Amino acid sequence: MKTLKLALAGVAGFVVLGISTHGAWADFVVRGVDTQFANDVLHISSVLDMGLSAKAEEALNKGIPFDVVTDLALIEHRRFLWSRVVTDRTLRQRVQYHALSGQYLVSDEGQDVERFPTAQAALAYVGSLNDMQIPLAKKKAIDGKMRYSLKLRVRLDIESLPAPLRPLAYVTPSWHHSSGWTAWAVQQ
Amino acid sequence: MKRFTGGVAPVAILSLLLLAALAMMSAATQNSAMFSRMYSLLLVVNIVGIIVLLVLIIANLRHLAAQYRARVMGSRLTLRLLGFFVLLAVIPVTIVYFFSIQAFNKGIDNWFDVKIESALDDALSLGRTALDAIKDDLDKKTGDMAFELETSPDKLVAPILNDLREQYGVTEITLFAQDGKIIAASSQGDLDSKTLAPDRPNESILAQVRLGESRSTIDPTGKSGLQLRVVAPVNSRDVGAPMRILQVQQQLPDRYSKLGESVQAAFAEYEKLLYLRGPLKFGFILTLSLVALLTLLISVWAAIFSARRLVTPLRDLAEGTRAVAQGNYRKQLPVSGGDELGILVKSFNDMTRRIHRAQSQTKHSQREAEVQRTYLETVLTHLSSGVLSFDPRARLRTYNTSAEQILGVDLGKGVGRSLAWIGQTHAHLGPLVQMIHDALHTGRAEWHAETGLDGQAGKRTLILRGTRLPGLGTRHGGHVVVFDDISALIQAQRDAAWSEVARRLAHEIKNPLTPIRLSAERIRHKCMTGLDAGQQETLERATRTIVEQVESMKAMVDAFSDYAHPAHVHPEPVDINRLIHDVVELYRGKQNPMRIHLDLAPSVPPINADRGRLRQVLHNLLLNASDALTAATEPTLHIATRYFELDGRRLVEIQARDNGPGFAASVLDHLFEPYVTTKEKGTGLGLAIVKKIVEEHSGSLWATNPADGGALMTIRLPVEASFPQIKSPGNAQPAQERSA
Repeated sequence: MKTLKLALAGVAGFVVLGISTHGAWADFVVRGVDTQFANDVLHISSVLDMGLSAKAEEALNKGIPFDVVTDLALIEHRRFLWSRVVTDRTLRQRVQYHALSGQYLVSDEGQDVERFPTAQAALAYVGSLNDMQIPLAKKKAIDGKMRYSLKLRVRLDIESLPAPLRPLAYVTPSWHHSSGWTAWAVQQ
Repeated sequence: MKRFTGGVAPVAILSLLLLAALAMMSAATQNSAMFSRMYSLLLVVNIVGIIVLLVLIIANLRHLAAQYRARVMGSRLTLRLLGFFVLLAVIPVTIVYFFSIQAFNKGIDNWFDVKIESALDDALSLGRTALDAIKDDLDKKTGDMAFELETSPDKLVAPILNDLREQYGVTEITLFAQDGKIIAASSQGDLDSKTLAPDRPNESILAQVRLGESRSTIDPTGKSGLQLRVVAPVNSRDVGAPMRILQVQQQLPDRYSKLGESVQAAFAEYEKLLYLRGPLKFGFILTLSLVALLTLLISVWAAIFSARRLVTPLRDLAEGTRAVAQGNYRKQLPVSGGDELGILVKSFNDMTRRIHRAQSQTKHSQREAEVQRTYLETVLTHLSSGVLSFDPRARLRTYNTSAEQILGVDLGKGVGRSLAWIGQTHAHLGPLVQMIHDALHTGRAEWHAETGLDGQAGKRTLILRGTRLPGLGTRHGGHVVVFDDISALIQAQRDAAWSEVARRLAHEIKNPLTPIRLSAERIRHKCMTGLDAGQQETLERATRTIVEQVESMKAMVDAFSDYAHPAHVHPEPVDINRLIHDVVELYRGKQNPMRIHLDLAPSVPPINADRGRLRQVLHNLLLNASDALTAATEPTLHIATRYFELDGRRLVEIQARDNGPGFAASVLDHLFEPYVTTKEKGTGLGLAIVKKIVEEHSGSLWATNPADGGALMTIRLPVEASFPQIKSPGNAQPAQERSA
């Protein structure tokens, strides 16, 4: 029984360590987000600082592709009930170094490719939203009397890394890049 | 829970799942697209599964250790087998593991060769150099085109761009305003373009060009295409006119593109592998370690299971043997299989079944024998005859209650003792013991004998019958002796005889007495007148003598008649102490020198009796004592009473003891018979009447001469006497109660 307790304590400690290190490395920083409704469309513009650790940058330069995921959620704050998610969206972009051209390629799920001479430029492009438009499916989904906010998070998806790299990435803090959730008021 | 931790199926399933997960993880490590996405999940599943397996094994080992400490049967052998199996598993797994680690490290390192790396670098450099040459040419062409466009107004620039594109043989030309808006563009019609809009350079390029620098890049397009892009400023010759930006794109020939992309892909893959060498090693070693650990744990589990499976029948056998040793013959063991152990367990079960059956039969026989013995004991106990059985060496084996009552001894201590010991221990049994001893040694199968026995209640007559018991084989089976106390029977016969005497006396003697008396008186009356004085006196004396003797004979016959006739008993509660007081007072006086001492127990309860008859008993006793003490210097009579229980009967005992000469030995045996007297004038009926009255009250009496002198008369009367219809003395029955 004592051994079982020790084993459980070890697993719990591992989980706690993972959670704590996850939160400790957050060098994707959301600098500002501008959101507003216009004709049942949510317009979003954002500016982020996208810094990579030396290990991650080295891996990128060695041709390891990175998936940067941007999570968006429009939250309606109700007066007497709990908040509800009006809509959410996930944007996945892949950054990869092209050795022959010496450029960093950014491709989204629509296979559009952007090319950048530096990793910083590529990441800056990935992290910034330039008037991204999210049409709201239902009319009158937005109640003018209610208060809305946009939650945003940008993170490096460790699961997209090559399999051999994942165990190390999970237990190494320098691989944990995430802005964490930030909330921004939506202008109506 | 025990079923889960101890069962083979759950662990086998868990092990198979973990092995499958490890196989998928291994495939994922080798870049299998199918399992790559699940790699992390598989890793977590494997680690958790191995932890679960480890916990289960530790729990089982702790259980085994606890059994070992508690010295549970089979635990030592289980642990020994477990250790052996684990050793067999650990050594090869460890060797394979370490050699595999070495092989992995060397194998992965061998993937990466400096020459290959250098060759790939060279190939990439070569590709870049080749592309750079084309790019420089395109750069120069772009400069020329920009120069030609310096004087072209925006409105007329479209056909010029078309001409320039055809002239310089480029794929696409686009002219942007300074703010990045497209002014005009020209492209080949067969261009495999997804959109009609020209491809815009990104802001960083535009910013660089706005500073007056041109920028050329090699852009990958599509899946395996490459194109050159040169962006250059177009300065206007007009003063104040804004700068424009020219972008020229040249699609590389397919061969160039394919070769370039091939070099790029190979280089990128190699670089990636080179970077992933460490993690790859880590991943492989992790997978291998998990496989080794899982193999080891499964081996340990299999060892535990196998050891238990092997030891279980042996432990069952040991426990079964212990149970049989403790007398539990019902023990049946579970048969584990058809191997040698299974055959052994079956044989054990068969053996215990047979032993149990035999034991059951023995118990049944014992029960039957016990029933028979109890039956015999019950019969013997309730038999009025005394029964003694002896073994072939004449030692007492069994006896019944009647034997103890008749003999007046406790025979319990004599069981297993010889006849001689019984004779020595109980002196009054000497004649009886001698007779039995002689009879047994004659060797006759059956014999009869009669003997007298001196007891507390006087001399009694026993009739004995002996029989030799059947023995086993040639051995003798001992003897059984049955005897009865026939004293009462003899006494009854005597009583009947005396009753007959009394009846005949009454009938044959009393009837002639009256005519004799009348005849004597008539002779005196007729002859008196004719005789002289002397003769008259003689006649008078003679006739008087005749009349007196006739009266005497008549009184004697009346007394016998009273003795012989049945008495009418009137039972009532009688305080015996008070009655003794009343009677004794009549004998206390100056004319009677006898001193009477009373020792009457106050606890004596009233008894159900005929007061008048008991008074007669006391009178007779006192008269007898008074007559016996005439010659004594200090005639003394002690009368005592006591109350006690004997054999469930409540009895009152009266003892009268004098300090006279005691009963004559010649009459002691016939003291209570009529006509037995030592007195000159006694009728010999006093004590006979006493005995008769006592027996009418279901009592008993006997007379003895104590060792310290005098005579002792003992009477025992029941508190609740029953009075059956009193019959004539001729039909008198032997007393049912024997004096103890």
